[in-house]
Order: sequence, then structure tokens, then C-alpha cells
Amino acid sequence: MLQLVNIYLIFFKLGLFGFGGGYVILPLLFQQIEITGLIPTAEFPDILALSQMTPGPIVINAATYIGFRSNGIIGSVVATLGVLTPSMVLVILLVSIMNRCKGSLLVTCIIQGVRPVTVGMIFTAALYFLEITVFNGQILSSDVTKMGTDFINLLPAGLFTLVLILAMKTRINPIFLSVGAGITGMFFF
Amino acid sequence: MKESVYLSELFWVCLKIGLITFGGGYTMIPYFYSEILVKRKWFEEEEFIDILTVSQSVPGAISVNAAFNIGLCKRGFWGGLAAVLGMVIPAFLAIIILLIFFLNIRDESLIRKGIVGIITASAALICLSAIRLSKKVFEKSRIDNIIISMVVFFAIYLFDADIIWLILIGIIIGVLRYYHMSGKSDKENIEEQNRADV
Repeated sequence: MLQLVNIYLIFFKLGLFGFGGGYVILPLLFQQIEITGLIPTAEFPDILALSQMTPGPIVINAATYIGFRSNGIIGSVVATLGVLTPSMVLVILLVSIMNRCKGSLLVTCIIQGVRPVTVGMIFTAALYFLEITVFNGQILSSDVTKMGTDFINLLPAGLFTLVLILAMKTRINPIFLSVGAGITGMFFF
Repeated sequence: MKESVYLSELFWVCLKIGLITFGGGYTMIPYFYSEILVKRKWFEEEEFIDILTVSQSVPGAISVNAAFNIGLCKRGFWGGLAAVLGMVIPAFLAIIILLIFFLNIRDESLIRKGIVGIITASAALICLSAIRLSKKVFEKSRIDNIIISMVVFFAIYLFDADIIWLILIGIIIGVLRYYHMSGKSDKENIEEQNRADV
């Protein structure tokens, strides 16, 4: 029971501070999991991979995954409710003050103030996964002089570049990019 | 504007959108647009933009916020709840079903390699989102924003700083800017901010 309350609170926090949604929330989510030890941090890649391969919002996918791994179906339900609660309350609040000019300006200012923080966050998320796949270990805190060819995994680096270009230049649905990359990984990595 | 839209219809529309969109966030907006605005004409264009603005301002999944807001406008709280349920159920069930299979095979080397492949693609997609987001936030060479982003990045990456505190600092900066802007009229400010938003 205590564990379920704990899960609810973790995901309530995530919903309350998760400005920007989706990928931006990942660093916040991972940090909360690290602090609380809810599930092993080794499962972070699996959380992202499964969230990527299933429909719907990544935040909900991740909440369901983590809740399930921690406490089964009940855990999933509690985690999902936790992340939904602040969103719903805040939407109601915001809709009611949107009609008043002053409140609306304050909200806009807060959003503009938080945005650069979310940019910093999303770059750490990108680097976190790059360090797992494309690079061997940490980029910034490693000894630069030792960075030889064995520091970069060539195949993942090529796949990364290809996906980036395809996502930028074409309108291919990201799910096909993920599936394609998964199959590529199975046979070539 | 409250018209008679059935709760079940709110539920099914959001279920459909939640089922066919992968990745979430901004990828859902075109689907909302075609289902809610073009097909069903539930809102005027301007109302729809207001709904999107609120959905992006509130923390949490943008598509969930949008679904709740749409339901809220149409049928009040229960409408919002029906829409959110529709949006959440596919995401929830898909993970449960996939996990039940996945947990038995996740240590197979073929699966591990597949995961690495998917993660590589995800890293690229995250990078792309990061680039698009920073273009928006750094436009007109906002030096202050660039500095804040870099400080946040290094604080998390090198020092494992508490992200909730960093977000709170961002909120405080926003509040300070609000008081700083008191010179101009409110209307002027809002118009300016909204332009920067789009």
C-alpha cells in the first residue's frame, strides 16, 4: 500500500513539473526513478524502446511500464492516474483564467521562463541514449585524447545519422523509423 | 460553447487518435485537427488554437491535455474524463500486452540488439525534437535563454542537479519577467508573447 502511494506521488510530481511533455519529461522521470529506486535504472532503454513501439503518449506508456514492473497492473493504474491528476486540475485552472488578461499574461511568462530549461533537459535525454548506443561511455567527462575509433560504434552512428536525415527531410511516420531501426539492430549490430 | 456531443463520441474519437499516433506530443496535433475541426466541426479555428495553447502550457502529456480540454469544452468535467480515457486506454493496454511477452524474451541477444537499434532511432528523434525546440526558444538570438539552457544542460549532465529545482527556477524567472514587463500595456504584451509562441 505504501509502495502504491509512493508510485502515485512520483508520477504526480512528474505530471506537475513535466512541462513540454514527451521526450522532455524523460530526464525528470529517470531522475525520479533513480532517487526512489522504484525499478532498476538498467531498464531505461527498454522503457523508451517499448514506449516508442506502442501507440499513445510516451508519458502514459512509460508510467504504465514502470507501474507494472513495480507493482503489476495496480501499479500501472496508480502511476497513470498520478500523472493525469495534475494535468487535469491545471487545465481546468488555466481555462478559467485564460479569459482574464492578467492571469493569462502571467501564465505566458511562466511558460516562456520554463522553456529554456526544457531545452537543456531534452539535450541531456538525447545524449543519455547516444552514450548507450553510438558512443562507448560518457562523452563530456571522458579523456578527449583517448577518444579513438573504438570510442564510436560505427554501425549505430551510421543508423543514427540515417534516421536523423530521414526524420528531417521526409514525412515518414516515426513508427516505421523505429521498426526499421529495430530490425536493422537485430541483424547488423 | 456547449453543444450536444455524446460522451461516447468524445471517447471514441480520442480512442481512435490515441490508437493511430505513435510517439505522442506534437505528432498528434494534425490528427486532432482533422478529426475534431475538419470532420466534426466541434470548434472554430480560433477556439482550437486556444485549446492547443492551453494544452502546451500545462505540464504533462500534450495530447492528454488537449483531449481533456476538448472534452471539458464540450461536456464539462465528465466530457474531459471520457476523452482522456479514450486517449489513455490504447497506450496503457499496448504496454501491458507487450510487456507480458517482452519480459520473457528481453534477455535474448537478438532482442537486446533490436532494443539498441530502436534506441538509436529514438536518440535521433529526440535530437530532432531538441533542435526544433531550441530553434523556437533561441529565436532572435535570445542570449538569456541560450545561457539558461546551457546552464541547465551542464547542471544535469555533470552534476546530476535536481531537475524539479531547475524547473522551479525557470518558473521564478518567468514571474520576474512578468513584473518587469509592467511598463507596457497588458494587451500589447500578450500579443507579443503569442507571436513568439506560434
